[in-house]
Amino acid sequence: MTTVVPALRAEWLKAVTVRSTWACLLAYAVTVFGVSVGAVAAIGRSQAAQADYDPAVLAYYGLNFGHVAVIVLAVLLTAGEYGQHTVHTSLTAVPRRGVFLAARFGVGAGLVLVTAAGTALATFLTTQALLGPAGTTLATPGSVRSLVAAVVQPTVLAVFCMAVGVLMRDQSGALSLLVPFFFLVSPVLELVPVLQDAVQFLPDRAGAVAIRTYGRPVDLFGPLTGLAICLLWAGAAVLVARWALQRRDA
Amino acid sequence: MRSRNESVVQVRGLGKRYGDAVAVDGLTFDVPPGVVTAFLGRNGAGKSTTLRLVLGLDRPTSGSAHVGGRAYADLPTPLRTVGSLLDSAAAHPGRTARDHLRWLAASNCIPARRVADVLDLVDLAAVAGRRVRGLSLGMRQRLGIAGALLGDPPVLLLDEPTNGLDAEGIRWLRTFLRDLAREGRTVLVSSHLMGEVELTADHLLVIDRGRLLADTPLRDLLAGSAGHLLRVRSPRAGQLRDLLVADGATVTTAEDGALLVSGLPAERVSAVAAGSGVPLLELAAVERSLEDAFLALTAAGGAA
Repeated sequence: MTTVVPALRAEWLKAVTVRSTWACLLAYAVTVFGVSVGAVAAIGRSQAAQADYDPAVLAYYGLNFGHVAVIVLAVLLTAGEYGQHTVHTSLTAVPRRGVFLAARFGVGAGLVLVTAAGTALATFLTTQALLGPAGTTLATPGSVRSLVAAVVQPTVLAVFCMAVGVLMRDQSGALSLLVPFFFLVSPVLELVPVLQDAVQFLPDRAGAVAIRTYGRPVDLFGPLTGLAICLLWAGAAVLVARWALQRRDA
Repeated sequence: MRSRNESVVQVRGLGKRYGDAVAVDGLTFDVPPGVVTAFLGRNGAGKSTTLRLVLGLDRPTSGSAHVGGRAYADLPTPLRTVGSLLDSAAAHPGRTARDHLRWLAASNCIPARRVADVLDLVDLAAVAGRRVRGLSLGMRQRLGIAGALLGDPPVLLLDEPTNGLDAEGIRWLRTFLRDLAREGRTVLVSSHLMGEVELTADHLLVIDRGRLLADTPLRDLLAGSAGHLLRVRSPRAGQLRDLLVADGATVTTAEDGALLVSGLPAERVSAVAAGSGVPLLELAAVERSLEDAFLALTAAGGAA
């Protein structure tokens, strides 16, 4: 514990003393809020009249777009160190790799969590107010759970991407792996009939299920299971990153 | 002031291979406190690799390295024991000089006032609020030195610290390192610059192709290598040459006609010349520079 607290303070200072961190967090908030509010303003009322309408799916329509900012932030915080040759400085200051990784991931996840929480709440309240009588409130069953999912899911995404950043040790490499993984792989694989079910377990698809207000019969699993699947992906990535950082030369 | 053991760097049978390439091959040495020790070798000789191994950045293939009896990674607050400067360990270009030192201080529970102290010490206070990308090469190097000094450590491991420094900065660093050693600290400076090492170091570790060729006081290496090479000029050089060879010397002729004599002390050369009435215009011991000594050493090491 005595080494974790100073390491957390150091990682916090590192994260908040470069502009790119704030730029990414701001981009996330603006994109998620802007796209969601725009979508609701444009098609909200007609969508709300549909039989299969799920208020959270439309209210958090911008989350997917905001993911880009989370991916970039996570990669800058991790693989960015290798590009800038700062990782040796980091590891001479905090040579215990497990402590280093925990502090870095903790700070990155914390920054995304706080940003995502404020963004999700503002987005939900604004979009539902826009819908007028068709809007829901946090009192509606499932609303709070989907709000929590809209906060936890980007946080878990950040952790997954930070782990990949540590593994790849290269910014452009990590970005060119992660961006297609979250935006191209699922739609393409879904075209293959035998893979359709498997695709639902990829983190982007499971994450989309996680934020729903209601579970659907057509889904293979419900929202909570969806969130759990995202957590498993991130957990596995962290374990691999930890193992790699421990045994590799810096 | 400090216990001797706390600050000794101990390297035992340290080896590192990258695939088939042997970077460091069975190094064993101690770096004691109180003197400036230079880690001398050509580019690619294994100096930086050794320092990375000591700092726990790379994993050794064999052997071990300890500081004050502990592996670097086991030091509770490493920056307060070992200050290091590595070529590869830079500061983030988007962060200010002061913020770079602030996070380093925070990571090892170093009081925040040390940040201002070391900024003053390396003369960067005026640009402390500037982002690293806006600093000159010399300023970045001084920021790196500031980072090494932040924890007021008893051990300093500096990889090519004069890189990018101007003449004034190099002179400052030289004096500063000698002062730190005099305070009882352990100072290890790697360099490929013979002239700089000759002026700064008390003790030498010479490394070539990953192997240790010498672990010796600088003075001994220079004295030892000066050997018994004498430079002798005489108007009757040919006659003198024959006399000296007959007396057991090895004699070669320099470009300017002077004789280079080894195998005989100066007194004997003088006596031989006097005995035959050969006048001497010059009789001097040839001072070999560290560069000569180093090249002789690495040539011998390479042949072995």
